[in-house]
Amino acid sequence: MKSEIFRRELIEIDMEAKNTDDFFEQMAKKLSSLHYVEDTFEKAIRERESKYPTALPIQPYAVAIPHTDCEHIKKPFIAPVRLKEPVKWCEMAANDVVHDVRFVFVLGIKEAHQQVDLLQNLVVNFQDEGLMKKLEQATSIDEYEAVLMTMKGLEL
Amino acid sequence: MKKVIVACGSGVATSQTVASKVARLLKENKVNVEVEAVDLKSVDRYMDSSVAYIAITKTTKVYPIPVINGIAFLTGIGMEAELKKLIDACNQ
Repeated sequence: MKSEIFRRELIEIDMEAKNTDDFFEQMAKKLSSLHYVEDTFEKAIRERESKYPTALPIQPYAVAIPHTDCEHIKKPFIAPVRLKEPVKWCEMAANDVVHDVRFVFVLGIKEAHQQVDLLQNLVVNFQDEGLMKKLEQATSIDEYEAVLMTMKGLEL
Repeated sequence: MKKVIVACGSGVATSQTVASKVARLLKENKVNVEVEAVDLKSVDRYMDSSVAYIAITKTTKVYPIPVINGIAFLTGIGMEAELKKLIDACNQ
């Protein structure tokens, strides 16, 4: 069920973060308190992001998919977040290229091979400008969740 | 069978995703080549046995085999061009 992938309790819209470190600090606290991640998660995700950045240069809405190695994850999740103001985020495989990112999907992958199809379909949906625009315009968590549920190909 | 390798930063998300997508695209294009997601650290070891390297991290080294931009398969941007490059490498 799609709703099991996007954990409603992890959806945030209009989250305020100054930069990626601030974002990771806030997310780590939340994820840890809800028992999704180990205490090592925050450091791991910051380090990984700095070495292997995760912003996908999709037009017109860039999307970031930060994640860590499996050992820092307790329960698998995807945390869909819309930032109130764009945050500077470095591009995947082009570390020096910076994007203004408002849409972040934090991926909590417990087993390497588990979410392959899901991720493939997720990135296809990120390229759907109409869908992304609806995410941009959503004014409540209910609305945001409803748009996420329209994403194609995520039936499990 | 010929092989192409894919490597990303941690091997849990993007390399698997790209490997899966590329495998499907190659099959659709009737290119019979194996696609394997490997650990970034061991990429060098696969140079002799692979016909192409699909990179999802910044590459600063020069490799003896064609390097394909793996991000294109995640964003769709430039994907057709990279796929053609890959198929050409497979058909060498």
